[in-house]
Amino acid sequence: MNKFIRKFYKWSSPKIFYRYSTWGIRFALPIGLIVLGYGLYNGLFVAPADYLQGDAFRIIYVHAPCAMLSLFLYSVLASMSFVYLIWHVKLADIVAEATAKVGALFTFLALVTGAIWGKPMWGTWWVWDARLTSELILLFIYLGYLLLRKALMFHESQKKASAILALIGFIDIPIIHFSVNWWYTLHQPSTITKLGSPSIDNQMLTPLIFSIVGFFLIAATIVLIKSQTELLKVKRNVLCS
Amino acid sequence: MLNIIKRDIWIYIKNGVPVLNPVLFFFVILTVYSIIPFHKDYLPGIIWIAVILSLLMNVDFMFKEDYSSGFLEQAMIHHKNFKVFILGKILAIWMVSMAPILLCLPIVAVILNFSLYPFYILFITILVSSLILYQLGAICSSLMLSLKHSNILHSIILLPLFIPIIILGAGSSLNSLHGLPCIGQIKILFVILLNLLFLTPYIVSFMLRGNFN
Repeated sequence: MNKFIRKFYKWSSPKIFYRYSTWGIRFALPIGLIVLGYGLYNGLFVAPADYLQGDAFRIIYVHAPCAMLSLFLYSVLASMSFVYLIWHVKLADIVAEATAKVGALFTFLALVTGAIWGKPMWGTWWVWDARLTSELILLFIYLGYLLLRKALMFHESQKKASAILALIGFIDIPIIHFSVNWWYTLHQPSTITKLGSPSIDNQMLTPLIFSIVGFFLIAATIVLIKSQTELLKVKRNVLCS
Repeated sequence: MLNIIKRDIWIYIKNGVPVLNPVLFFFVILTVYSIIPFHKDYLPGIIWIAVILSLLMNVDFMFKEDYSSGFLEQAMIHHKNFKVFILGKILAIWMVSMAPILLCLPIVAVILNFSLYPFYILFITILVSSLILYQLGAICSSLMLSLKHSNILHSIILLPLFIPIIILGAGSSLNSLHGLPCIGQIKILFVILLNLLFLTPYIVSFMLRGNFN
């Protein structure tokens, strides 16, 4: 057995995971808070107002990290489900559930902040635009995953079934994204200005990067805390029964 | 495979109800929609919604009866080719519930004043995508086999997965109504269908084996 696989097995034991994740929380939470505070302070107060959108553009410092996290956490969920299906690591299943909860939260936040930004900019809370629609469907897929887990709570097939559902959703999300994009751009041109194409000023970009990093660290902290709690619950159930 | 299709269709006809339900439901929905005045552009969308709702009626029917009677477990042990068995089951339920709707589609087209070319496109898209949708439904119902009442949960989980297929299919039939190019979407639908025909039996049999262990 080579070194990598041995390390992998070691990490997948709950005891080792618990110890290291405690260290991870201690490390990630304060750093995340500091970085996020710096980014948000600079974004909300220091950065200059946009010449077209005024102060309303500042919601990007919350909205963009949420939207990025919603997709990133789904890929984490899918990879955890993959690990569970292949190697039957119970820990991966626990982490997957925690990730799904946090991911659904961030998807919801991205939708809400987007709507708040859309009201002054577009004049409506909601447009059936390509990106908005695919984000909404992503939220539905998260909720379907969580509902399936809840419904199959006392069944043996819960972990396997939810892992398969997560993987199917992972295949489906790019298809949904492309088909929605393709279908709606046939009729109306995309209304959202892309982040990448117009070069954003450094004064606005640096806080954005800081707040993205901060959001990622804090999301990681929440996932770790949630999975630790779930681990303790599972252990208690094993000991009591 | 032919054996299992024959047996399944026989059982469905004997039970009586699920054979006629989707077709009747399809016509009722179309009638309700036709009472409300609507723009002509919505026509393919309305037919699509009717097809999907009537599909959701019996898609969780697929393995339930055989699971509770123990036939599924027997088949898993005895059949040499369990994947072919699963494909046969999917085709059987498709023949029972979707083929009548497809046969009724010319009547619907006459009632709703379709011209010939859009009708062809509508027919082909519904033919291909209903096969796709039944495969997705088979995967989903194999996930929820051990639940007793799973109808609503079924639709909540399935409908988001249906969306790309609905977009492609309804889009191509709407395009054909306006005389725009519509073959590309049908090609993509065929690609998805072929991929799923290969993948579904593996996923479903993997999940079913998990249910019995």
